[in-house]
Formats: sequence, structure tokens, C-alpha cells
Amino acid sequence: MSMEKLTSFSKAQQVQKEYALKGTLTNNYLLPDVSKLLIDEGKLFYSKHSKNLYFFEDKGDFYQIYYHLNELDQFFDHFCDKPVMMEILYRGENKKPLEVINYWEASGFKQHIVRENMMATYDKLTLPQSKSKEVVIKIADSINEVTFVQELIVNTFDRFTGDILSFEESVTFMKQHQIICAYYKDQLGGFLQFEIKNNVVWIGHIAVDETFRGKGIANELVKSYITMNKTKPGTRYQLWVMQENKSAIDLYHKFGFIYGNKSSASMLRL
Amino acid sequence: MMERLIEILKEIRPDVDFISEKSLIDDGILDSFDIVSIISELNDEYDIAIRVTELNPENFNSADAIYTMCQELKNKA
Repeated sequence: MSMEKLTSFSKAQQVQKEYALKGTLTNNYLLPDVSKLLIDEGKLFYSKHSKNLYFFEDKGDFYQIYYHLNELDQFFDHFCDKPVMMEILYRGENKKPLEVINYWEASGFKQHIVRENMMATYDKLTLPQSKSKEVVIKIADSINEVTFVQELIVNTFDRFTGDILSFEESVTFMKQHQIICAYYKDQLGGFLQFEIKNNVVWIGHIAVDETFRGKGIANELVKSYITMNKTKPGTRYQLWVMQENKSAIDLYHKFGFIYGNKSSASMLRL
Repeated sequence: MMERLIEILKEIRPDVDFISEKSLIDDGILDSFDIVSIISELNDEYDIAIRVTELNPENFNSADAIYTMCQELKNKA
């Protein structure tokens, strides 16, 4: 099985036509505009094995796979020069696609992180009282703050699923006023980075330095994120949270976020 | 067929009012995962073949638009 670079969108359509059939199991949620961009940047590859098709997105130090599976007894045995990961999306634990997970385990992958989507509209949210008057929130506007954000992202988030931002990307978010910092007794203790996509205000990253946990910082960050982005009663908010991070899930529930009927199980082969 | 379509859509996104919403994509109510889930259900239900690389997101802005797309694909089949 060899990996070939996709050089045109029509080629992507052509190969998919052969393998995306009725009943095909797929995690391919790359819409045309995203596929075209990846092809233009030379980051999209594919390989075929029997009746199965795999797309590979080059993410720098690993590949992300989008599969079209028609034969579950034809295992993936592709040699890759970098780690390979994928996100398997499903709706609720009772719909977890175990046959697909078993297929990838038989192909040498291990289950990695499970994340859950949470959502809310402003009119369904409640804003809890502040726990601490010693937490001060401000919009990031200095390189010192971006450096703090960058280090906390690298030290806190998973390198395969955490959408690790480059320093330049963090600076861009700062310039767009999309990073909020929290100070505790004048010391930088945490941050929240958000972005607005299709009228939805997404939390990109939120983290509190270990030294400052349990002081109400996350509460204040989420509260500020909600209030500063409210444009109408129906303003939409969304985020992904690790399923095992029960304290974060509890926090979002307290605000009124609900499960968005989407989960993502990532699988990884190093 | 329209009633069944609304049922399918509600199974995927029970929180959305598919009868009144007309900007499902433009307002970010449906994301790419929702679209792929809807495609998968529609392909099975109506025996049509919509592929993710071929789709036009504008066809997913409302239940009416989805319905029209399915009708056209069924007529072509």
C-alpha cells in the first residue's frame, strides 16, 4: 500500500466515488472547501487497500486519517514515517462504533482520548456568582501574556488532539482580542482563547496553571467569555472537553451547557 | 417524505427546529460532522448517493433545501 499525494480536487472526487458507497463506514467530514485548501497546500494524501480508502492529512509531526471502510477484514498495514491518528465521531455512548474501533485496534492502533461536544445558547445560560474578588480578568494585549498562553497550551494539551497553536497563531488571536487572561493576586494564572466560526463562539483552549487551580479562575474565564461575546439572546457557544475531565464538565453544566450529541474517540499509532 | 426527513434530522440534532430554521449552515447550526451524519442517513433512507466531496453546503441550509436536493437526486437515479 503506497501513499499518493492528491494534486487536484477532481482526483479526490474520483477516488472517493469508487469507495464511498452505500453502507461505507467513514469519518470523512472534510467538506469541499477544506479539502481544496489542503490539496493546494500539498497536505492531503490517499491510499487504497482492497475496498478500503484512506485519506491522510499531514499535520506536521503526524498524519490524521479519514477512512472509507468497506471491508473490515482487510486491515490497515500502511507504513508511515510519522505517528498516525484519527478521530472517530459518534452520537452518544450507546452509538459508539465498536466495530470500527475494533478494526483499528486490529490494525495496531490504540484508543487515545475521548472528547465530548458541549453547547448552549445565551438565553439558556446562568452566570454563577463570582467566587473570588482576587481574580481579575483582562483581554490579552502583551507578548508576555502570549508567551504564558503558549507555554500553558504546550504543557497542558494533547499534541495530537489539542490543536496546539503556534506562537504566531497565538499572537494573531491576541490581536483579534480573542484571548482572555486571568490574574490572581496580580499573577498570571490562566487564560481562555476563543474564536467565532459561522456565528458560533467556540472555546479553542482554556487552561489554568497548576499553582492557581481551585481559586475560581476557570469560573471567571468562562463567565467573561460568555458575557463579552453575547450579541443576541440566541448567541451560540460550543466547546470540546475531555470526557475524563469531570471537573470541567461539571463547570460547564453549572453554566447551563448541555451535551451536543457528539463525541469523538481518537485512536493513535505511534 | 418531508415528515420523514424532519424525523431523520431530529434524530441527529434534537435541539434544532428544522421547520423554522433557514440558515442551518450560514448560522453555524449544523457543522461538517452533522452534514456527514445527515448524508449517511439520507443515502440509506432514499437509496441515493451524496458524497462529501460532491456536496454543496448551501443545499443544507434548510429542511426544504435538503428535501429538494434528495428529490433531484432520486429523479436522476
